[in-house]
Formats: sequence, structure tokens, C-alpha cells
Amino acid sequence: MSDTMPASSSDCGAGPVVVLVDSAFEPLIPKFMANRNKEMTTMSEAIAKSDFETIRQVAHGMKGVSGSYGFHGMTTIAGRVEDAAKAADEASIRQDLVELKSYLARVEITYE
Amino acid sequence: MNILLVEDMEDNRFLISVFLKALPYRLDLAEHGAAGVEKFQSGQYDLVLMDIQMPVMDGYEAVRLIRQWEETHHRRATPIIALTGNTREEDVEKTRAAGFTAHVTKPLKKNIILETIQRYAVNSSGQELAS
Repeated sequence: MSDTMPASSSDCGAGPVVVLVDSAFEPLIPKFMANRNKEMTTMSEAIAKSDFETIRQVAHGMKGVSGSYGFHGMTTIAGRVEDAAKAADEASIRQDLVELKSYLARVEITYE
Repeated sequence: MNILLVEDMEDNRFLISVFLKALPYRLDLAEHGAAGVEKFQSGQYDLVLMDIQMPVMDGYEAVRLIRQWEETHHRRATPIIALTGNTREEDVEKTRAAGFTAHVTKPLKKNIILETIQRYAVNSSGQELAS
């Protein structure tokens, strides 16, 4: 399982992000994506209140679960959000949330 | 074999359920540490898979309570495997010190989960299951 993304970690380009997912997980994907979008909302609301602990917790969970399903690009970005939240680095969090939003909007799943 | 999975993220619960779907394991679920401790005390499990960071009660506290309960009730220590996204040596040591038997690092992989279950599970009478 893998996903293809631009080499630059700051590239929020318009192209698709192709993610290869185990076909056994196909029935789980709608719920998985819905939960990731909920997490985006939670983190966006939290950064508005400078609630770094909530962001850290949510990003930590997103980091772990996304890799398990094959969304390795999401794992990477969520890991950066987690680290930025530990450092209370609001600017980095905001930048990474933009990148996460872009990733989720561009993801195209291929089952293998 | 009876397995208890203590994990707050439903996507991880679903994932492990898929991993074990075709196997002759019974899987019980708990959404946080307190629920996990309660299920453990009222059931009989050959192995526990437990997340660390959970609401209500985290994995460290849950495993400590389970180990205390086992000692009080003269029960054999059930293998309890930490499911953790933390890979630093001090975090691994922390899981051991809390009472976990071993750990599996997230992202979760089917072959690692199955190998871990096979390696650590004992049946209810205390005998190791054949590999």
C-alpha cells in the first residue's frame, strides 16, 4: 500500500494523490474518510482557540490510523501537525492543515 | 481464542476486525481503558491488544489496573500488547514498566498483528497455542 505525492512536502498542487489500498478495506473507506474530515474540522476549530492539546491528540490518532490504511502521505503530514502542536507552533499547524485539506480533497483510491 | 481489543479509534477497531475476520478468534471490543478493564475482569481472554492514548483512561493506567487485579485474584498474567505510535526507546520502556508484555508499532500491519497474536497468546488453561 502506498500513495504518490509531490516530492516537496509543501507542494499543495492540484494533481491527484493516488493511494493504493488493500481491497479488503474497501467497505471501511467511506467511514474512514468521513472520520478524517471530522478530524480536520476538530483541528480547525481547535487552532482558532489555540487548543494545542486537542490538535496534538487528534493528529496523533490520524497519524497512526492513516498509515494503517495506506494513506502514508497523510501519516507524514499528521506527524508534522502533532510535532507542531507539541511546540505550540501555530503558524506551522495552520500551514500543515492547509496541506492536509488539500491532500484529502485530491486523494484517489485504487484498490489492490 | 478470545482476544480483547481496547482501542478508541473506530477505524482501528474495524481494521483489526478485518485482519482477524477469517480466523477462529473471538474478538471483543472496548473503546477506552476503563471499559477494557471492566471487560477483562468480567470475561476470559487469551490476549489483549491495547492502545495507549485513549480518553477516559489511557493504556498505561488500564494495564496497571489489570495487573493489580490479576495479582489480587491469583490469575496468570495475560499477554497484553501495546498498540502504540510512539517508537522512542523511552516510550517502549514505559510500556514495559507499566506492565505490557510487548508492543506493536502503528501503522498496524496485518502480518505483524497475526504474528504477535501467535507468539504471545496462551489458551485459557495456560498452555501456549501451537504455532
